[in-house]
Amino acid sequence: MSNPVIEARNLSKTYGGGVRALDGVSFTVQPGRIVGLIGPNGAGKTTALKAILGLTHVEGDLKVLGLDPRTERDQVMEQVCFIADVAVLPKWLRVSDALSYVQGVHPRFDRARAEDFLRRTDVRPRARVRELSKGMVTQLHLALILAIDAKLLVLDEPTLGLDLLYRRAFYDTLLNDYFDHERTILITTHQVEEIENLLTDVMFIQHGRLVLDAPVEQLATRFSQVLVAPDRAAQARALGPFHEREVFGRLAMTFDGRDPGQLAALGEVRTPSIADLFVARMQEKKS
Amino acid sequence: MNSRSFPMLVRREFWEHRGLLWAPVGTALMLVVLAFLGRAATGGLQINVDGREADFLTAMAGAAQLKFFGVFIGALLVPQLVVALIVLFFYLLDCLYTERRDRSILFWKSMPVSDAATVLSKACTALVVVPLLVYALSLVVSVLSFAALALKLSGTPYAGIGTWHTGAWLAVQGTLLLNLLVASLWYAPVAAFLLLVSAWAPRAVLLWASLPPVLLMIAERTALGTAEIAAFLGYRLTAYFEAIGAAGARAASPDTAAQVAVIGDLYNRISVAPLLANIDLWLGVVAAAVMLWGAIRLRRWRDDG
Repeated sequence: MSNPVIEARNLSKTYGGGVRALDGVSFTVQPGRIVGLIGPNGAGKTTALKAILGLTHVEGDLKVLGLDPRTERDQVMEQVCFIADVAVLPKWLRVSDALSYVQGVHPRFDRARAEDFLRRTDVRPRARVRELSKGMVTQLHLALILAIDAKLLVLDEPTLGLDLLYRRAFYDTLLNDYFDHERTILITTHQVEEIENLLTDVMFIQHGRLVLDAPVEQLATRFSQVLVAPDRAAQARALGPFHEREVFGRLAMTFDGRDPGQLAALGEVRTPSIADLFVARMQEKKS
Repeated sequence: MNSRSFPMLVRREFWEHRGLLWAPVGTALMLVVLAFLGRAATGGLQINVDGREADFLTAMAGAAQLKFFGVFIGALLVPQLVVALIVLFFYLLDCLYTERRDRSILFWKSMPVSDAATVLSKACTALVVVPLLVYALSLVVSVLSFAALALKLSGTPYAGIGTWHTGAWLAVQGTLLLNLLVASLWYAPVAAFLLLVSAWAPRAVLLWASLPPVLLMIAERTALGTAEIAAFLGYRLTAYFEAIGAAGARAASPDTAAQVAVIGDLYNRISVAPLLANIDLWLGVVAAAVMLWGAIRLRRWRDDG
């Protein structure tokens, strides 16, 4: 297997006031994957991304493309792109100047490609960012990023505040025009439903800890959700579901690593969606 | 640092802070327009020479006219420099603060541009690029303004006052350029301090830049009854102009006027050598380097959440 894109061992970060944003997080991201880092607000998603991008101090071992982003950030950023959220393009910037700027500073930028993408949108080259709608700003940012031949793309809530059409178009473009199985994409979001069909891997993060790290194809074999009639609840609980909730008078129980054949006796078995799993994992400790 | 991208970083500064370009250009335009339209040039002369035309013409001939020429050319740079200083003061305070406030720093940091290159591009814009721009504009302004004067005087008894001296013009401009470079070195620590505040202040950059020195001065006065800090800051802010003023006064004093035979001699006497030999100039450059390093570190690691 080729060298991992990201290797994180025991990442920890404590903010002032003793808040542990990251608490011994370890994970590996291989090339050609689309990884969703999913967690509730304040779970440590953004801190993890900032660490990967060399934007914040963090304890532990961390290598991005074989480089330490804390000490070798300048080299890392030649190969890594990121979109933090929709509001970061400065209001005064002209679209054509944005292209000139990236062309001027980024050795891996293909201006023609960015212009080609922008021609398919309503973004005019002479417009300033302040004159564009939120959706158009994202299109501009996406055009800049798509035209950079980077190994890793990091997206932090990239579609926050966009309407459904732009959100859908954003991810379609990402998949069709950008992703080519050699690049790696790391996305954080709390809108799980939006991205669950494009992910190859999921990581759930809660209170600064990873509570799930698995390839999507493993989820179907590993996790099962069963709708259990109330009279079989005790029998089902004996098999150790890690989450249950009531749905129309029956209990939706989620199991980790149970044989679906064994569960079929309890009721209708299905593979939980990533959103279902997320809710189950996040509520696990409380129930 | 990718040296290929440095010119683009400087261009970026002019996109964001359009005043860096239009304030000097606007000032230059205004000076030229005033020279052509204003009545000051000829009107002022007529009042002063009232009834003593012959004396005045004698006094304004030869070396004296040359001196007038030199002063006229050099003085035009002053309003242009004052405007540039004001614009640069606010530019330096703003440039590392606004990108944090509007979070565009996350976009700039998504590019392969080091924090050192970014901070140095801003220092370079303020200490090299804008001064050179002002200087280049002042070359044009001096030619056009003097041409306007000569045009107004032509056909009058005062036409001789409008005599052009190419050699003196070159000498004056050479001295001014040298002076500008020394000024950049002298004010480098002030610029670096403003960048440091801009990179650090949580908000209200103007207050953070001005309040601590003022409070320190008050504290010193109440505690020790002295004014060393005020003297130090006053020295740093005004010593350059005092040195230039003193040299200028020496060069322009009446007893030397008669001896000004060599073309451009007036400005040759405004020497930058004493300033360059001043250890304080170089200590200031070292202090500037330290503060720039601090601004780079702050931009590198500051985490605004």
